Amino acid sequence: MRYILYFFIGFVATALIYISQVFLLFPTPVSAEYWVREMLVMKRNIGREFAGHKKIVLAGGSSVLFGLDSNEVGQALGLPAINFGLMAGLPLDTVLRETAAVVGDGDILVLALEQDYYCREANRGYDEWQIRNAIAWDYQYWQEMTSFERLASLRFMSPLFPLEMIKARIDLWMGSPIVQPRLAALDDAQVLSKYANPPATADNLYSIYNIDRLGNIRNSDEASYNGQPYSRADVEIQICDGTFLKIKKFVEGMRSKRISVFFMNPPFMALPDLNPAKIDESDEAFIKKLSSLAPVLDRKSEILVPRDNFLNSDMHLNSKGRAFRTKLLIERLNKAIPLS
Amino acid sequence: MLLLASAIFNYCVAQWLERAVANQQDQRKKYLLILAVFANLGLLGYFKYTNFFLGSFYQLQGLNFSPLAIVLPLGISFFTFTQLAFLVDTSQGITTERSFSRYLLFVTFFPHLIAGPLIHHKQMMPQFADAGNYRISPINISIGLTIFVFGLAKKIFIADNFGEIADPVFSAVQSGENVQFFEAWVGILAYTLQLYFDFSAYSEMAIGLSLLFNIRMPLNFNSPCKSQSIIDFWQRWHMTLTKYIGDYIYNPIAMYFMRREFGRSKFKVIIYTLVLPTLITFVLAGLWHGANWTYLMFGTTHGVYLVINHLWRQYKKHKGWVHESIFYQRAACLLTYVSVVFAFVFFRSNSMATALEIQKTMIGLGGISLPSTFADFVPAFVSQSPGVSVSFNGIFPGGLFKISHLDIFLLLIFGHIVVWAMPNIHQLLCRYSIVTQDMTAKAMKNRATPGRLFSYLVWKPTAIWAFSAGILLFAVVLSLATLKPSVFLYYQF
Repeated sequence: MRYILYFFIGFVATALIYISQVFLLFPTPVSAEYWVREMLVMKRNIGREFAGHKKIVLAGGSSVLFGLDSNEVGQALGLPAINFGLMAGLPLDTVLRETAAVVGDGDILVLALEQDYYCREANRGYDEWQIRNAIAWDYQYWQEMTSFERLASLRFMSPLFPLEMIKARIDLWMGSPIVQPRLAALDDAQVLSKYANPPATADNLYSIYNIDRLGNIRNSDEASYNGQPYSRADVEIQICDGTFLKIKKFVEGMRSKRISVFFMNPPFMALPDLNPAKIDESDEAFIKKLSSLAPVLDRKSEILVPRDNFLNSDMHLNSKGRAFRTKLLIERLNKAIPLS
Repeated sequence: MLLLASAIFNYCVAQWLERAVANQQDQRKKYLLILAVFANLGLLGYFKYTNFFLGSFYQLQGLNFSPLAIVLPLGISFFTFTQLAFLVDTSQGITTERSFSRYLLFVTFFPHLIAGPLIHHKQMMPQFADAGNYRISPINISIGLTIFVFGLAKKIFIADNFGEIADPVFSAVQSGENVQFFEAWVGILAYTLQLYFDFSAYSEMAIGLSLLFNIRMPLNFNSPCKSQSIIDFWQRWHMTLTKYIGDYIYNPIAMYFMRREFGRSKFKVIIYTLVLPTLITFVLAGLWHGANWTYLMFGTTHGVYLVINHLWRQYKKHKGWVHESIFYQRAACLLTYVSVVFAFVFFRSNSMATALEIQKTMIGLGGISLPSTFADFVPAFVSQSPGVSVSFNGIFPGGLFKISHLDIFLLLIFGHIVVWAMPNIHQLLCRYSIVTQDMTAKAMKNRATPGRLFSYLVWKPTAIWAFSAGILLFAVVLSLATLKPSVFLYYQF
């Protein structure tokens, strides 16, 4: 019996050490997606530049960042427009919180969330990524979680994560070059100064140097995506109750500030085996539910984009795809609110 | 429901058979057994082989076939075969079982149900009948927990990592991409290790779970990669299946042929008493693994290997070559391993075309890509030889692998060290009886202990072992939540 007791003591003690280490070492600059933090700082700054002006804000994840052109929208509709597309892996709370901070009285907000966002409870692909970011830089997300949620979130982390945190702390203490770029990404002033002095060419696609002054991605002409799309247009986008309530609360908050909110679909690939009847059928319930909160500007059947219009993933349109989707948005916004 | 219906039907047939045996009603016994065999195999055939046979038939006619929506019930092969063995033995008066609850427990005993081992009533019924086994045994729980945790860790931390290396190679060939010599070898070696660790992990988990209930499973896995012949391999790999097909397929066929007159023809004796029984048995064993031509080829290949191995043994005996040097033993082990690896290509591939393409590449006929630094050293006649295409685009030019080349090599080396040099769980637990003894004593022979080098690893119920297992369980539980879901490879059988 003593063996069994020691076995469970070993298990419980390890769990306690693991949990206490993560809690005690928070925050720590572990390896995470720091470029998203830099992009966020930069986009917050764009928002500040337009504060007090009536504007159009295009918000969502990377399908907005890559798939809509705020320059075109602004020119066509005669209002300044910001691309506030971030990254689809970010928690919905973070996206809504950051968006709310940018929009102001009388603005027009187009919310084009990726499919996963409508039921994050069931789509857990980004969990580890989000917790890493929360511990590395998205402190508010971590702090907004209840203690139980924080505890539960640790189940998505690797068993070696506390060791990684200790190593990051040692690197920090020793001033190791590994953590220097991470620390720079945590300092808003350094990020903005970096953005103000870009090199001649961006080092890679996922860099703030590759984002223009209105938040749009640049240099995205390629069509290198050859995988199987994660989402199909003929499959219904599930809206979970928890998510729906979150979005509802957000939209009501926006309305109270006299902000016009619109929803928009993410892009879908025009696959040869798509069933047209099922596309419309799958759209019905989604549109019906979302329309109870705010108008939906498009239908799935209208944003079926050929494969060569995708950049490097089934969510990222290239410049050709972006032009198509932006044109549709302008047309629909023009109908919804006659601006120009 | 299916499992319950099958158990009720077979229990009733067993009772009737028992009565027929007692009353010496041979004709009735024969018909009952035939009925039961047809009913059981019919059920298995419907669920497991309908699409295969219909698909093959349509293909022969040049027609398109849309597979029927038949869901394969979990563990159907295992519960069908355990019950068939029970019925055959009952019809021969070898076994009897009156208690339906004990019979149901035997058929539905969950630790083995999904991926084996194939349990036999002679091993299990006495344990279920033993009242002592219904008491809590701390030592069995301690051992059971430890084995279960180590098995689960083996599956999560080792087997699945090899799958990450093997899968892209097979997927690439399936989708028509060209893979090169080293990529093919890395893919199949990784798959061999994945299957080895996956199957040994499951076997250990089944043993561990059973021990929690004081039940000992038969030994099913005994360091098969250390085999020095194919005969030896099948006495170490899926041992319960080997015993089953030996007792219920090979022996009856061999006995049937042995009763025939062959005159003086040695050739005929070999064909009828060795080649035919072995090939028939292993073709069926191949098909048992799944309804696909690739499984059939896997079984046939092993059947051919076994025939060659038996003939070689007879030849050695005839020549009086008894002594086997260390060099011979190591070479035999390597040859056996390479042969097994080659046959596993059929086991992993989803079609014969994929399997043959990979095997062609493995023997150098699909292209060999070397690091560019080799360009100056490889003589022109090699790269210009007919059938051999040598290029200098690096050893893995396809960019198939997500992890670095160094990590791939380190993982493969680690895996092979474990399978060739490390003791297995039975050796580490040599002080305790963790499996049924009928097969163990023979199988373990002089390999019951881990040897002097690893003697410090022998399990004892100490605090260190308990803490280690507890810590490992935490790591495993945490990893289960983060890793993408993966099933045991033997689930499909």
